[in-house]
Amino acid sequence: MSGSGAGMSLWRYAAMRIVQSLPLILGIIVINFLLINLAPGDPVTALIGDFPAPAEYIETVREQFGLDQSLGVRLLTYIGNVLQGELGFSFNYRVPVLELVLARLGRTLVLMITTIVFATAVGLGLGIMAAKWKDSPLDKFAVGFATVGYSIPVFWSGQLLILLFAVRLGWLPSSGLRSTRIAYEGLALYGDMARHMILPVLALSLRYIALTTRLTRSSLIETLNSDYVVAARTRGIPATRILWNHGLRAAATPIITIIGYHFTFIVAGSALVETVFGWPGVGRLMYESIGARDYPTLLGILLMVSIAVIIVNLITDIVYAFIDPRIKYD
Amino acid sequence: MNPNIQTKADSTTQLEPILEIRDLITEIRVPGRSLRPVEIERLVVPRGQVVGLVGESGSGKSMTAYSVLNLFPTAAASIHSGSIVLDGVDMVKVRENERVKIRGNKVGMVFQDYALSFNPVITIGKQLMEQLLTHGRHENAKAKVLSVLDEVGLSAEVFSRYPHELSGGMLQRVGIASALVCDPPLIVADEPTTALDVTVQAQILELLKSIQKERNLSILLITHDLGIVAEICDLVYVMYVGQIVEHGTVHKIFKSPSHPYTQGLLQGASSVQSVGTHEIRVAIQGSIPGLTEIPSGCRFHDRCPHTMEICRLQQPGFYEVDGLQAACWLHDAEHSHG
Repeated sequence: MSGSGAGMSLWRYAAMRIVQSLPLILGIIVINFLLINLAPGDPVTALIGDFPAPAEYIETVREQFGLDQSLGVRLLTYIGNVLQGELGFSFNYRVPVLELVLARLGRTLVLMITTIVFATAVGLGLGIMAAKWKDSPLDKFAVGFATVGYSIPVFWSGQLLILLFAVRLGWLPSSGLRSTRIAYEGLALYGDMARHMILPVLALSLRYIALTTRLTRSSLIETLNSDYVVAARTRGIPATRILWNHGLRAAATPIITIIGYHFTFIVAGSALVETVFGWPGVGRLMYESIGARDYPTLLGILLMVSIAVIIVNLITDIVYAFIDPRIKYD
Repeated sequence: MNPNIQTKADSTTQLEPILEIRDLITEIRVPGRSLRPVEIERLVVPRGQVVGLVGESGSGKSMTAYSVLNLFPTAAASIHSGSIVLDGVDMVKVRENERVKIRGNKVGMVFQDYALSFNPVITIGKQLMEQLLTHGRHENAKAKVLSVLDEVGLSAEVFSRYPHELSGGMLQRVGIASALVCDPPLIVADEPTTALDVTVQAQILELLKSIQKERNLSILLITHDLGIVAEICDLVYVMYVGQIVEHGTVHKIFKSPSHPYTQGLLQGASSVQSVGTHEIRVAIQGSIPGLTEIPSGCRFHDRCPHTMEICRLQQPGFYEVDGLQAACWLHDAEHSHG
């Protein structure tokens, strides 16, 4: 009865949000396209390199990639292609952009999802313990760690981790996806890849552990001081149960917000981390494409990232409805 | 203080009490000092009776309610000393894990802020079930919750509702249902009608009254509203700055109050015919002192129209006056007509 009714409105809401995001994606395409063309540098020069090429050759290359057309024509052509699922051809790698990005997407997703799961788990745990034993040495450590962790930029923490664990201690590989000297197979290959992931995930997680810890701690402390928690205690509900059943449920909304918010920043962070740790994912592809003025690849990545962010926001909003019945969709 | 705490002739002590508070001191620790919002020499709730605890805001009524459960909304508050015997168990002496089993099970609490007493993201039914199951009542738990909802005049539909979907009056009924769900012998109701509309107040009061009769329940009713006291209570304790200044049967207190503070309260209540206001209109000069500025001697002496020399110096004990117990020097043979 009421359950199916809420479900109905939820699906309608999801459908409505998807329809609403279509013009948003179109807007993103236009803005990305214009921004890239505003940036200094010429892809043709980047393509040919410093080699002194004859003017006719440059013109041929320009024509070949359609770069002789006006900005408006190029934009319309691009939008038309994207609508047909065609993201263009990479200047730099000489392969279709979609193929190029999809080949690397999996690696970046593995890194990102591992980071989100790990950072959320550690941040939640640390935040819960800090809230439960407020003002204890553990709480002070958590608050201190959160402040420091939040302040360290990811490219720097990444290099520190490499210095400590790869160079000084030699425990973990400093870069790459897998070992190149030994060809592992089967389970050992996954184990080898996992070892390669530890440092980049740690570097990427630090900031999000810090954020999640702080947010969990503060929203839990607020909840545990609320009147209905006092009321639940007068009903004889034990403190541990109140923490898990009442406290975390109320703290869930801000925590889910921060997970959704993290996602966008982890996308940005992964470009840095993949570069520092030589992880061959989309982030490094983006970094390389900027250097090579590879407009189609860059646009393709930005488009996919934008869509991913829109999807994550949509999921976040839908999850709110499941945990907080007071949220209405209008 | 005074050894003459209560005379044997007092009819209220003949039944074995469900709640007996003795020499209770509740303290709030603030940096550098300790405040004492409650100093009750003796307070008794006999079985099957409704006992009113009345006083102005800031007199320590709510802190007394929390003291009964030995549970405070702030970690700074705690019981300093005394005993609170609830159905044979001393809530001060017993360990916390035992107290958890008593709260909500042997004593139900009803709050003024009904809107704030339930978790906003969990259905009413789940929250009442949680309470029943926590106290080990697994058998027919859902049927039990539904029957209690019915008892407080709510339909079974409320079971699957969230707090924000209910009106204030309905939520306060849920509050009462929660207090009743484990069939406790005692309910502590802290201003249960104060935050409600006047018409709803009457309904809730009527409900409390009928449930009390039906279940032969004992209620400690905390209120500033003498109209409610007259309506529902059997006995009254009048509280002033953390202490009981007078107690006795409702009939006698209303007919011939013997403490000047009670007299002032009653005059205020009759001169202002409002039931819904939060503040007591006291026909007494001045205002209730804070806990940091408690007067010497009788705490009421600087507002009392009959202050004598002794009042400033020494705290009075209880004197029996026409069946009432009043802590006032006026009733001391030596001082009264001096």
